[in-house]
Amino acid sequence: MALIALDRLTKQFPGVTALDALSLELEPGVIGLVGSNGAGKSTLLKILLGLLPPTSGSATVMGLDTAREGTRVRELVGYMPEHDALPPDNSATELVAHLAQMSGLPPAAARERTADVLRHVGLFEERYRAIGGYSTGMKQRVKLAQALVHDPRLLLLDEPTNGLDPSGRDEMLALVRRTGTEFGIAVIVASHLLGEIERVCDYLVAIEAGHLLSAAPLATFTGRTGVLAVEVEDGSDALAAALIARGIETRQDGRAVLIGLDGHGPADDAYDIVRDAIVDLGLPLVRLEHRRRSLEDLFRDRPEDEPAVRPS
Amino acid sequence: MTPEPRPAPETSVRDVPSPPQLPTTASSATGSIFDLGYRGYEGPRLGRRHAIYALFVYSLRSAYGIGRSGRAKIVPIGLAILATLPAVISIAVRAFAAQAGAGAEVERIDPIRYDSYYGYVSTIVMLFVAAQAPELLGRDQRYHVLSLYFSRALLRTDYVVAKGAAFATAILILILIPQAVIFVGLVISNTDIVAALGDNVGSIAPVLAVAAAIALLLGSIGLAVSAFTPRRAYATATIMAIFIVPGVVSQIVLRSTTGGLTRYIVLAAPEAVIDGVNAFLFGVKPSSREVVRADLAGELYLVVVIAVVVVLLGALARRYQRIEA
Amino acid sequence: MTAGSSTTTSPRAPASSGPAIELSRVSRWYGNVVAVNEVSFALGPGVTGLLGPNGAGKSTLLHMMAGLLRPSQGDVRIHGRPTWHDPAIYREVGLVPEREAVHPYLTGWQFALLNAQLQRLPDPAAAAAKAIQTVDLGDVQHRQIGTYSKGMRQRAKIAAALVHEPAVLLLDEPFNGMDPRQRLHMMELLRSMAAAGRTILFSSHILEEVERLAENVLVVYAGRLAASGDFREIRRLMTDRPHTFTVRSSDDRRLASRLVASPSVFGVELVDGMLTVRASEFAAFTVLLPRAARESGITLFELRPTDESLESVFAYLVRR
Repeated sequence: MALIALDRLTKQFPGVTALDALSLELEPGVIGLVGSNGAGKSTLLKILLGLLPPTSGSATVMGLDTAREGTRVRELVGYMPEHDALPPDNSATELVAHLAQMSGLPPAAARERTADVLRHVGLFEERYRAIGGYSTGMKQRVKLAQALVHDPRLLLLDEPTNGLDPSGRDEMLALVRRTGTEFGIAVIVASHLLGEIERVCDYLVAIEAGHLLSAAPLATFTGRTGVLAVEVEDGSDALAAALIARGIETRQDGRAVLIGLDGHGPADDAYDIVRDAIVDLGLPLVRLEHRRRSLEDLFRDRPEDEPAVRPS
Repeated sequence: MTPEPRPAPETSVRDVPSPPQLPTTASSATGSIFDLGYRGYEGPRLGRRHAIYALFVYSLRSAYGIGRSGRAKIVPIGLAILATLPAVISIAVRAFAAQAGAGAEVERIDPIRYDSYYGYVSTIVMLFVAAQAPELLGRDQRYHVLSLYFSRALLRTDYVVAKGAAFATAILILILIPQAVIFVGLVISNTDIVAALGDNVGSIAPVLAVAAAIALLLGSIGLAVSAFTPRRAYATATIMAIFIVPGVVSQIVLRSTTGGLTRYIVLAAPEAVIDGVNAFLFGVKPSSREVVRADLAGELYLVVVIAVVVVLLGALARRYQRIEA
Repeated sequence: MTAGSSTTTSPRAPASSGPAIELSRVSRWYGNVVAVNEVSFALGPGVTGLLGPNGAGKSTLLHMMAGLLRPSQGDVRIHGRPTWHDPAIYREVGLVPEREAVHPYLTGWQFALLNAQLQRLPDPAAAAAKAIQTVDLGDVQHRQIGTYSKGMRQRAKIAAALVHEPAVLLLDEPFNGMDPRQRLHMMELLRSMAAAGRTILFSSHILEEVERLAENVLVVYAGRLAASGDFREIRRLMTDRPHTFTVRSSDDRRLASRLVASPSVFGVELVDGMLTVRASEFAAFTVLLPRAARESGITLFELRPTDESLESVFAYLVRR
């Protein structure tokens, strides 16, 4: 049974079609959800939570139809909203324990799960202080904790790194990854940041103007391009010339010298030719790697014969 | 169809097979590592009913500031004390008077009775409603906490039911505690307790009915305003205005005219309506002049209470059906 | 959407001279809280990233540069003129603040027009139209801003900051809330404006994007300037931190033993089918590696520095 199945899911509001005949099946894992701004992404999340009925078509979460069994779906799903949603004068412990009971946990179990889950998300002494005094990072953790406290089978995270500085983002992404792998909970991460999705997710769903743009394992989008990039600290021009002299086609891209554009990758001995050219010139080799495609290619306007290249 | 059960979480205790003991110098060391990793929850899940009940309890406590900071307690508990004080004083005075032998005298002139009590504390009850109704609904709206509630098994109507019941209960408590004090005082201060019980038992039904009417009417006004005005100061002011202004207007109107349709204006004033219901259910003369002047049938007041409550609760439910979480 | 390049023009020549933005020993305190502590730097045309943890003082710096906040100490100058108490400065600087600074009942068009009028431009309508077109809000310009998505609101704010075609553009978290397509367009826009001669300073937490867009960075931490310049050069300066590389070759173990013999190598690790090398001397190691491989007849398939990114540099700077 698929984790999530959408069957020609359509949602129309007056004047705008938010989702247009979306069909796909998702297996458990860490799934990235990218969408253009507009109604699509949040509408989809609301439908998956059973909070919005489809105009036509259906959405099934863990075998339950979201339109008919919304309550049951919400018992099994945890949701971390994008916006601020925390009252300032409760402590994290009070709020999460209260919400645990709202999810149907008996009071004692609610308290115990709260204590455990707050530890897992990394809130320690601060959990007894009022939320109003928390930093953005701590607030995001509380939001994640309340989504986890009732042990959901599926987590929906809407922009979990919103407002976090780089180290906060790192920690949150690591936490999300742990949740998907160690905790064994299926996760859907909705995000605008393709770099994050590449880091954390194994699967991607991309929606544009209500249509499904793409739904595939992440590896499909970040595959090798058959281009080898060589970076030397200085002397790139000399290197390029030396390689051409040895019969290897090159092209320059900023600091890097690119080799092998036929889509099949460089010939086996090309690596050694490159190495030897570098040694003969006494150049400092800084980088040698296959260029990979990136998720961004999905969102570029111009159709690309050469995919936009980016170091992996 | 139920989802597949998840494989049992790894909560193994990995330890060297010896009982955990601190090592002595001579024996070999033993140790245990307990898995602190994430565990699933396999316990009972009590569903919507428990959620409604838990929200009810939580909101009732919030109405009295319990579980919140000290500052949140001052107003509700202070008002509760003030509402109970006259009853306590009256009972104390009766007790002393009874000892001094002037019991009957005091009983004759003591204004504190079941049917008159509300008149003395009506302002306090209104202040309580105006102050605490925004507490119950406003915070969740202002800080967008509703999205955390509604993404759970709790339905929107469940939320309204729990909050409404909690607030009505909070007001009931405020009104009934002093009435209970009066009851106890009247019974105990008598030499013949059993007879006193018999005398007073008959009052219980109207006391409860009037208290329910007050709680429902004022509570629904308070909640309806708070649902549409999450900003605390505005909500409180609006609620107080609804309690006071129609009353003033109806007083003015009834003082200057008599008879005809203008009498019905008294039905727009919450305090007057309560007085009318109180008089009707206790079978006594109304204490406020406007009600006397309007001279309307007692049943009418009761009908108005029920109608208003139904309309306002309907508006409340609709508001929460449509509110953006 | 048309990429902004066709509509960007060079900024007007500044009224005075000096580096586009210059701070000399600038501090700003609020009572005992020192938001900015003796910061000095100079910027010219191009794109510069302003980085730092939350609360490090970035917004304070941007507001001082925009002339909206007075430094408690030191000088903040745009093209040589102090920014404080000089209304003419607002002609030369555009600020896009982080927090919502738009009236929701105005339409996008009205907001841009309002700003053009406030700037006393000779033809406010034309300027507003141009700015709207630059940020690609043409389709929705007559809807109220209250109905905009976050990304659209950001673009409205940027349009308002562009109406007077300032030479200096300051943006506080400009990509916040934008979807991937909008981000790419915005980056392209900023790049083309910088190429046309504008000085652009933007703050962001998304370091992968800063790395691609900004030639230079300013890193602030607890009110102080922790580093400035090209982040690769900054990395080179951190000689106390060994550079880490991962290597894949035809014989990792043999290569590792050759490398470890050199004083420029700090340590090697063989794990997961990959060789990790920590080099204490960057220059010496980068020359050594291909040489050692050739001399041992080993083919090199991959070499990747793992802590050369802006993320790593930033982490090293603020997690001291």
